Amino acid sequence: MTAAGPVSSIGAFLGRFHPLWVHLPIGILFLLAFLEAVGWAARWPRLRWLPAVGPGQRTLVLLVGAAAAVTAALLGWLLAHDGDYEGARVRTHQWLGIAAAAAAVLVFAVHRMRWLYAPLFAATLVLLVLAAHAGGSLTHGGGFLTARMPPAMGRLFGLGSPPASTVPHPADIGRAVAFPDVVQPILNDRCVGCHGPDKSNGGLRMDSWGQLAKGGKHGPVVGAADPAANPFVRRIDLPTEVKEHMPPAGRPQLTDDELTILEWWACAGAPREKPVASLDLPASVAEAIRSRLGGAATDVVPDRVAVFSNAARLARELNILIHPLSPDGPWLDVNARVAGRAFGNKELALLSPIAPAVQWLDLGGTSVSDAGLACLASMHRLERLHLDQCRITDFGLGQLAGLRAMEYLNLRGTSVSDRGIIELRQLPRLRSLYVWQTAVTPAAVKALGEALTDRRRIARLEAEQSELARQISAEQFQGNTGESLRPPAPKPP
Amino acid sequence: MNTPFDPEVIRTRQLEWSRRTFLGKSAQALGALALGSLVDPRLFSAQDPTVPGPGGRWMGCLPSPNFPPRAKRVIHLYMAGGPSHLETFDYKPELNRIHGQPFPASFTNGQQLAQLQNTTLLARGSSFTFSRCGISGQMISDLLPYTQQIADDICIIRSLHTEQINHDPAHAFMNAGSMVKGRPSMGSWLLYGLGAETDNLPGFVVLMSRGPSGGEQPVSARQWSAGFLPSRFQGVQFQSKGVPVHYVGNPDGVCQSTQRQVIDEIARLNGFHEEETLDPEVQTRIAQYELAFKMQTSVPDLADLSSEPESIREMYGVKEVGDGSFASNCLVARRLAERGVRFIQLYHRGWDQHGNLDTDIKEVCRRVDQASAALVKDLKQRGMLDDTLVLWGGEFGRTPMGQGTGRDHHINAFSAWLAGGGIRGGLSWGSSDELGYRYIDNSQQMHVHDLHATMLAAFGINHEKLIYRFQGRDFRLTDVHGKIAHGVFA
Repeated sequence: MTAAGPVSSIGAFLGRFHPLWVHLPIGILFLLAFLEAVGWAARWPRLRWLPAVGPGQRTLVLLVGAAAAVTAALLGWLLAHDGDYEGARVRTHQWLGIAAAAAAVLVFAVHRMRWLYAPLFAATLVLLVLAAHAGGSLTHGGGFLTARMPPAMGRLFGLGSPPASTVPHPADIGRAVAFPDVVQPILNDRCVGCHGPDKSNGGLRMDSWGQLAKGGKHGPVVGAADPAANPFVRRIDLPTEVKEHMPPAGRPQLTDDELTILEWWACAGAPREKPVASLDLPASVAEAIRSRLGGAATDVVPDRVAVFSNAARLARELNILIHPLSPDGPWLDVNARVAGRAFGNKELALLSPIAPAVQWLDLGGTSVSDAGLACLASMHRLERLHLDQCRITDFGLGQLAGLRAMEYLNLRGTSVSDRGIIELRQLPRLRSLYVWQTAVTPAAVKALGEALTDRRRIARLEAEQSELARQISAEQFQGNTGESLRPPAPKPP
Repeated sequence: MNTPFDPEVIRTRQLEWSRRTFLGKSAQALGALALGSLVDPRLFSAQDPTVPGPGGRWMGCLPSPNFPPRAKRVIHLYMAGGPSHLETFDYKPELNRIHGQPFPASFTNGQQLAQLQNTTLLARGSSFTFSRCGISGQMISDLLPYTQQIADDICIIRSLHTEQINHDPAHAFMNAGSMVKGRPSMGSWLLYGLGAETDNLPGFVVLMSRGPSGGEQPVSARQWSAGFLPSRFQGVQFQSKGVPVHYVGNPDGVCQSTQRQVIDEIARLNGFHEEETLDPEVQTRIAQYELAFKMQTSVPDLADLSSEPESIREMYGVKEVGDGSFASNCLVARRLAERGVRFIQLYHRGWDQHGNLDTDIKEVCRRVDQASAALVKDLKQRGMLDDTLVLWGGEFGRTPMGQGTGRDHHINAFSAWLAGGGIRGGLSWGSSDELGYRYIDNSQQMHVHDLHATMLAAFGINHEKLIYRFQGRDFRLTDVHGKIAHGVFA
């Protein structure tokens, strides 16, 4: 085992060629097996025209194959010693690989004895397949091969049906317990494949509280007092392109909700057995947990064909514009502004068949009023809402509290005031609010902004930023971006 | 619906024809059928359930977007003539340092030059100072004090480059991605792909303003042509002085209901002609009559700027409404955007400073700066900047080498800015080399094709999927090029 931190050495460098090189012995030996099978079939008179492998060719190919297999095993050993691979599955792969390489050498040694050659070669091939499969499971995670197998075929092979989703039964957020109900399922989905009992990269296991608390070979991961120094949060927060980012690029990434939950959890001192309800949750985190635990209605995707045929009819009847918003989903952009004052509460109510699919809704300049806004309650996916120059008051804003996906709200030129605006703090995703030409005061907007801001997260980002700035000034900054700003020097005459 | 392109109607009519007529017209009919299927693709590809619009209006040829869209409309502030990037957005202290000295030959050897060929090339520094602006600290020339105020809302692109070095072909390249005549401009492509949100006004409107001297390069109407697309997607130029559209009112003694009857009757007669020829251009003509009728009410409403408060007019710097100035055009552009026009292009001629750079560019900046910034601010306070993409830029830049008291045309690097429509404000995208001669060839370089691809991406359109088949070849706005600059989006 190397000490902490990556060590560059010729061995470590060569080790990284292992995943590439392993294909060579596999290809060579299997091609030989195929040629032997063809030669064997030539014993039938009708197939006499098939070519057979000559003894000299067999010797040569076996020599190359065995050499390649031994090299692959050596490279694999270098890779395993370089670093991040530990766990039962690595051991299995290691021994199978060594066995396969040894068998290949043995086959080469005895290949002139016909009676021994065939069964030994067959056994070598079996070992190769097993070793290769173990290696593949290391790289892609166990169960990768069969994950997408149709269930009927799985039963044929005696595999159990794929494990049911690890998300617990839609639990009441009030009763969920922080680590086992909220955090562990996320870790199981995203991390345990490489940080679990089968494979524990960096010596870190995340499959249980005890293992996680132990940390990896670089020290503890969670529970650090200073969030900025918390490697767990730092690495999931890094941009995907950065090598240290977790989960690694190319693997399934954390969703926004999962990221929010994990960040909050780690920065809140990694609470374990506390019920979520007893913790002081920012609105965005509560929302993320709620949707992760099965927020019910918001997760149902309406049927595209049904939505579109209803949309086509409604667009015609109400003289409004409806556009699809995504290449394959049912999401809609509904523009009622084009209908002007002719569009009112009655017309808005008629949109109910497509309501769950409405993502953008432009009611600007229509005669929709407070009473009509009750119809919006079923638009769980609503992200952009224009109500500018509508007859809306503070009372109407109260009706918007359930629209948790809302990011953009335009209230320009309406009769809303400070009292109504503060109700909007219920909207965890709200990013843009337009209140020009209303009675709303800057102080109220500021208060709303405060209520919607996750202070802890900002503090952490600031701490990270100053840490980065410190690192940059500490290292002598090279300013080298890989591009030469100077033109090439003129050639001497 | 029995449209002339209904296969049932065509089949009946073909049976009615005599053999000679049939042979004579069948080739033409097949061609028109093919074209017709492009004009309304839903007719022949009903498998994808799309959402048709009310009243048979054009809803665009794309059944659904290729990516989630961000923008809904474009306002292109077209600085015609080639604004000098070195005086506006691209600060080059190194160029100032070697001012007056021979320009390094390693830059210019074997390069295409417009009017500076076979002359001694001398470096020309900028006479104007630059400042870091906003929280983002973007460098913007002090010639543009109002644009400096919106530094955090705009994304400045400093690595733009084009292929055409003279005005007219360069305009064509910026508009249509090709210098060849007969290609559709980007506004036409967008209209063809998405349709417009209004049928009371044209979906693609052009306004023109000019500098003080009167000697500016002309801009030809082919810059907003629909090319080989059906001509209903063509840009329509409004007058920027006086009434936007001449003779839009009825003559004395004609009322709207009489007018309605006239339009209906003409449409009926045109319908006969269309049935006979199956020419989609007749459909365009019918649609244009209908549009013109609607514009009899929509245009006076558009042009009535009395509803704009004094404070808004002051913000734009409009002295007199409808005086043909860039400021007045910007105000009209915002009103067009509010009314659902998809693509609005404001040309301002007067950036072609081969000589007298220092005095003339000051004047043209004065005319353009305040209104450009006011437009962005005004869109923002109305909550429209989130879905309105604003592009400010010209057809090319100007040489870092002096040409007497000015600068020559330059295609290897120039600057522009984008704002709104999902663009990340306060971002500097790409750069030119230390003398402002050539773009730095990295992932942030931006060819005009890349700009087009990126603008279409803001609308959720994959530029490789917006295709029109013409004369046996598939055409795109970006031809066979174009890379989306994903990084400019927030």
